[in-house]
Amino acid sequence: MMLNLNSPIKTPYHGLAVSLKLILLALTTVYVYQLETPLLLACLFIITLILNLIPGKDFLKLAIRNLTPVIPFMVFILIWHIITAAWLSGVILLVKFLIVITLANLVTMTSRLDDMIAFLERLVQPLKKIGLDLSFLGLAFGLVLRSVANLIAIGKKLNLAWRSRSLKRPTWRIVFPLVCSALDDADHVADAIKARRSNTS
Amino acid sequence: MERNIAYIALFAALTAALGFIPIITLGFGVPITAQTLGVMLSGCILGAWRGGLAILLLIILVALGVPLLAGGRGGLGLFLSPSAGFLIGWPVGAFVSGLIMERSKTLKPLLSSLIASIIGGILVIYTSGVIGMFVVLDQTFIEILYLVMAFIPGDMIKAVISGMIVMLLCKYRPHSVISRNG
Repeated sequence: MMLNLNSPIKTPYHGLAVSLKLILLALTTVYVYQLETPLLLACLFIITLILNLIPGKDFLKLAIRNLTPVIPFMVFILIWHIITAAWLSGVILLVKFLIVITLANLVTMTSRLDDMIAFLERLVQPLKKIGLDLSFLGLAFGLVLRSVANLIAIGKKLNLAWRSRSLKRPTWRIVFPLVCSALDDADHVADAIKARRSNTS
Repeated sequence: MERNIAYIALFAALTAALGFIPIITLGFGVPITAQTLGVMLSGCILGAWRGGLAILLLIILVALGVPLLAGGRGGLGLFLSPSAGFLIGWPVGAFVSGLIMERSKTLKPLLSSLIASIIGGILVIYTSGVIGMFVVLDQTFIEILYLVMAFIPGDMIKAVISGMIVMLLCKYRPHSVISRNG
């Protein structure tokens, strides 16, 4: 499993601050959703494509590949609009989605996960003043990332174990041992954190 | 505190992992992933706050660009797509599932978790999703309801599975079902 969607191709956008990119994305999204002029939307769509083309053709291919998960839903919406005889508003809507989703993906692809987490931690810092200490966020993020790979591996082993004893496909019954594994892991991890904290304090 | 962090993180991971292991096969051989099953289970097992926070943690990681959703999806783009309402509804759904589990301790575990999964994992998530689609799509509320109706039977299967898993947990390791122990 890929651990993040960051682009391996270095771009000029990597150097920009995450906060700036997110503010620009938010402003553009609000602006684009208010637009109704097809010509203006088409221009913005071309600009979006150019932004993705500046780092090179390979980057553009990567950007298009990152769009594929939302394509079926887009096609579904377009067909729905055609059926309900509102094809023009369907196309306008589709272009709006393509612009904002492509730009959002551009931010994701050109912002390192560490920088995004650091930005989030800075964002929640003021909450400390009202008694909400979210300093455990970094630890929680690390635990999730470590455990996902582990649980997927356990799930695959359960799948194999099932297949070795049955001609039928694995069913929901493998979820129960998977949940038990997660619960056992949680107990072990809690003990480990406790032990580490008592050692460092 | 340590235990809470561990449970929240592990259930966020479990929900993500369920997206990569097709565990339900429909009658005509199509495997479906089960991340909303993870949402239901988080609420039903961990209770309202821990369950809701587990899914919120997962959603935050997805927003930060970690591809933890089924099919390796992730990133900010998902939160600007027409189906964003469903994703935003996930933590609320887990919270509501947990709340129902906590408030229905007198009911049998299977019934209690089935009701919690249907209300939290289907009703709440679909309400949030349909509202999200209604805001961004140029369609009426009823038309959008028709649009999403096709996915409800699959989610009903997941609610039943969630109910059965919670029932088994209550039977074989009751101390693990925090929502009923608190």
